[in-house]
Amino acid sequence: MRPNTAQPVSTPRPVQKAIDELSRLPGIGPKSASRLAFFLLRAKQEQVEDLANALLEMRANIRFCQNCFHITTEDRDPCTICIDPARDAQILCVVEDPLDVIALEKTRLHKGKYHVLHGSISPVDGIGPEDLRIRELMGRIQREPIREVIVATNPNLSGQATAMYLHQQLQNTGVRVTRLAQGLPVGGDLEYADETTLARALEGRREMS
Amino acid sequence: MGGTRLPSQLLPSCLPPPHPVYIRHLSLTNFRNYRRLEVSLPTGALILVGRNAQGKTSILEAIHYLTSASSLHGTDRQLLNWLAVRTDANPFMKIVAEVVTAHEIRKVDVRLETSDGGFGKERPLRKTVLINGVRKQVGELSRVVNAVLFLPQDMALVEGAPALRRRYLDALISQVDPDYAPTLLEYGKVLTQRNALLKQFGESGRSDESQLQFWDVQLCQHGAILINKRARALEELELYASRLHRDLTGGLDYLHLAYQPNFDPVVQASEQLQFGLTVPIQRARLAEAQMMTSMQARLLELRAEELARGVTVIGPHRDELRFIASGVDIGLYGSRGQGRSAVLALKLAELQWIHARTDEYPILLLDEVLAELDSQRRRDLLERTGVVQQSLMTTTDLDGFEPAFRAQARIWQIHQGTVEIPDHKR
Ligand SMILES: Nc1ncnc2c1ncn2[C@@H]1O[C@H](COP(=O)(O)OP(=O)(O)OP(=O)(O)O)[C@@H](O)[C@H]1O
Ligand SMILES: [Mg+2]
Ligand SMILES: [Zn+2]
Repeated sequence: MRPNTAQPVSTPRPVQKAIDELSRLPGIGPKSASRLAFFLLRAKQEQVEDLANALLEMRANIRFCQNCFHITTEDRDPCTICIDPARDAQILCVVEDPLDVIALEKTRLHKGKYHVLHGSISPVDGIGPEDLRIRELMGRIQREPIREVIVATNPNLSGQATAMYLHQQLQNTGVRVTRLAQGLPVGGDLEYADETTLARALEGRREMS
Repeated sequence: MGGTRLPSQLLPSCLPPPHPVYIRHLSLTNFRNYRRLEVSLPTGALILVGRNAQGKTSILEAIHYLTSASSLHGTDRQLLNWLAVRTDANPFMKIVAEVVTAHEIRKVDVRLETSDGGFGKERPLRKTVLINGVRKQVGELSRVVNAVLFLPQDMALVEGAPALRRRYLDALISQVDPDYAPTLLEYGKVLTQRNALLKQFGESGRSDESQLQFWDVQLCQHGAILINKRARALEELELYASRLHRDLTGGLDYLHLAYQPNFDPVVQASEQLQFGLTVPIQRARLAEAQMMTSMQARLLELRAEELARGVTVIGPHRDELRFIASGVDIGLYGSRGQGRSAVLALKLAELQWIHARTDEYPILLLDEVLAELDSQRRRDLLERTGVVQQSLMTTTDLDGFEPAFRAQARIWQIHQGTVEIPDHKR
């Protein structure tokens, strides 16, 4: 073969930068990232601006509720769930992340409030109990008239480890600690469970021992 | 010694006639060097002949993958055809087979698809198993079709590294026990998490029992199941292997498959040596719950050491399997020939064991094995493969097979990822 003396042309820097940023998103590989980048290159200027603005606005206006750490808007902190007088203040459902709150809300079965941990215990990822919103949870238990805590962490190892830890922490507080019933797909995520399965798991919750 | 331990109902000669299980049709898409292959497979012996690097082993590997959905060497990713990976937007690999069983014909479909998702650069592969068009768990494959694969590198099993024998054992049990692989996977995850926690606590000097306890329980729960299943499988397999081994060696050696669990609920390994290596210890009789409790207690004793070292020091991830013939560990002191006889006996025993467990003979896959054997062992092997419904064997050199064997076998030529089937043959 003859040596190739032509200069290879690389992707222009701004394009490459967009591709790199896109591929850092969960669920997006390098190929999808390129496809998205070139789509946006060809798209109308307004469309790109709308997207960029939507993202910036989301970041600027959405925050985590100071009480339960679910997502909320700047002008509603504490969030609507936390201040809703129709909600049962005695039952608190503890979940790993905001998507779980949304999934549980769809079942319309949980009449109480929530507490979002923002993760689960996973030593390999360097996530321990102190990295989750557990201290804040303990604070709420003291402040609020909570009588039952439903531990709704995922039915996988990390979720189980988190549930066990919470159970130990809550043991001497006098509150009832329950766990969602089995039946959720093992190793799966709460947010992917269908509504009926989730509803059944909630209704069949059991005392942790 | 040993002969009296063999219950007569387990003797192969007393078994009912085998149920037919064989693959009638095989279709490959983007599997290793096959972009596309559609073949109808015969029953009986099929010899795949061809020069090196043409795709002989790949066909055996495809069939093996169909029975376990786990790759033999390395990762699933290596199975995807390179060209497809380079040129296709969403490269995928697919193996489809029609399996004939006693009652029906089942369509088995295993796919690896590149999913669009994933963090970072490597796009994850999604594995799908379909049986008769219905999505199933990977473990379900073992209920449909099994295979015994005999590779040239299996010859090193006896004297090779312990990890080799663990992997062998895991693959073997996964074949007949749908619960084994998931338990092993879960054990691996627990081990990784537990090690990370031990390391973190060890380094910071601040340990928290309430966190360790969860991982202790998980480790022992899954560990006990693994130890139990391994012990049971080896006790059963030994019945067949020792008998076959006596036949193969002219009644000279008694072969003992000595399972040495790293955490031994029965007796410590050092004491075991004092009793002599052939004393059978029946660990499979121990209840899992009992095993779990004693392993948990042992972990508590080892707490300080584990924290200092930052790893889990006991458990089935460190198990050993030794081959003992006439009281001598042949991995350490055996001759090359003794090692080969042991492996041969073991592989043939697998056929009988899988039959005993599943009521069906597995498909036999022999890769280049004859080249590794002398003419006597070659004959021993081929004589005993007649029990299976279907066997596929590869070779670069047909002369390795005796004319009489060749005459009753089908012979296909493999050339650069294509199969040439002679139509003049019977
Ligand atoms: N993912 C892949 N994509 C394409 N080709 C591959 C892939 N993996 C392996 N190969 C190639 O496929 C060819 C056939 O491999 P295989 O192991 O089946 O050969 P073989 O006929 O058994 O050869 P040998 O006689 O040397 O054992 C080899 O050249 C190998 O490099
Ligand atoms: Mg080969
Ligand atoms: Zn809130």
